[in-house]
Amino acid sequence: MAEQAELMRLLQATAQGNQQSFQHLYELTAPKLYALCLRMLKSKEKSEEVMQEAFVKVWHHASEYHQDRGQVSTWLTSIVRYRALDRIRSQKPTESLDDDYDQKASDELGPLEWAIKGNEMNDLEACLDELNDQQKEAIVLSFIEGLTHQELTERTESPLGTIKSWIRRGLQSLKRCLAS
Amino acid sequence: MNYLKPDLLEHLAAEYVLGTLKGGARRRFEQLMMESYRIRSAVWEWEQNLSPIVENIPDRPVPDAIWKGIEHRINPQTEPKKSTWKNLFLWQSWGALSTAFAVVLAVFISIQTPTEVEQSGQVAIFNGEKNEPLWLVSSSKETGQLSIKAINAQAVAVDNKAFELWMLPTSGQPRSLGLMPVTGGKQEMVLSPQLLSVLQSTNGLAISLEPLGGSPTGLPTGPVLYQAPIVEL
Repeated sequence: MAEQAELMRLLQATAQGNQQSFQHLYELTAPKLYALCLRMLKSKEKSEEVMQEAFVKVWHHASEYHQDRGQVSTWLTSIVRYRALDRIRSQKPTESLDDDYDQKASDELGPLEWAIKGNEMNDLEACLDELNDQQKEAIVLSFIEGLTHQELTERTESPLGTIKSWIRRGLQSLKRCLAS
Repeated sequence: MNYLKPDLLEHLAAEYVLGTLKGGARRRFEQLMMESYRIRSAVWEWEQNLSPIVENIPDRPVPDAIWKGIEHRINPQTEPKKSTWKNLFLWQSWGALSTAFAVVLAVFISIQTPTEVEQSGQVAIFNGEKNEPLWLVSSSKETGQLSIKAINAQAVAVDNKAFELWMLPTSGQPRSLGLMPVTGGKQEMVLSPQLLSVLQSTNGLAISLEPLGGSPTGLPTGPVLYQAPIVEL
């Protein structure tokens, strides 16, 4: 996403009711966040709805952002992700995915490849690399696809207890690594 | 269960952010977040820890329809003119012009439904912080029908919470008129003669934030977020 200082300036102007700045903030961040929605929801229509709901919320709640929430991009990502998670959890199991989505998704990198792809190795990527493959895959798949424990058992063909253990231990290791 | 025990708090916050904490456990944790800064801080820290994962997702072209939808929802007058009803949203200042709006609405109703010209009723508009209209509530004295239309309500929606509508009688306690819709078309119900009578002697309406399903006590349990005067038609 764009430089954080620029996002902060635009968010501050948005909080003052400046719609032009809000549109610029949207234009800078939407391509990444829409890609995240597609990955989580696997539907263009639902992704469009979630993006609209999330950014309308940003417009009305811009003044509630504060530095304890992290960078502006983190705050925006959280708003979009939680809205997408709500949508995933509320949809019926029988709801179908977009016909054309799977093909496009298959062209993208898998979670393990993502975690090691970045040219600039940031702290998280370095710490994810310290996890074993199962822990890393369970955490990344949960985060970017919104998979539940149960869905992870089906995806990885592993027992529920094992999945929970991978996530728990993986998160503990991540925490230790990021704090060091 | 002691949620402030560091290991447990850390684990629940991480699984909340990850999305693997779900259902009742997720809702309970959200309630605890509202009560404890320490719990919120743990969540924010995990959001910062994990959000860089998103940076590696390749950007995707964004359909123009998304911004158009956002623009319309934060600024309803941008919607293409489709009908007399929607033309009413051209008003720039809802707070100052709500009374005028009610008069126009009355004229509109009389034009649209000539057989009901003699009907009278009440209307109330709930506005948000920036004076944008959130809900339009109207009632008919003759039929007892209460209509609630969500306009921009989705923008102020709160996860796992419901908005409940209350009458504020001149004497006595608030009386519930049910839950407010956040999206979709007009929600309509027919009030009992008793409730209709209370509505006639009501000074205003209020909306409180309640648990999903509404107040468990029959009285507001959450904060009153919005109030609106009732305008006679």
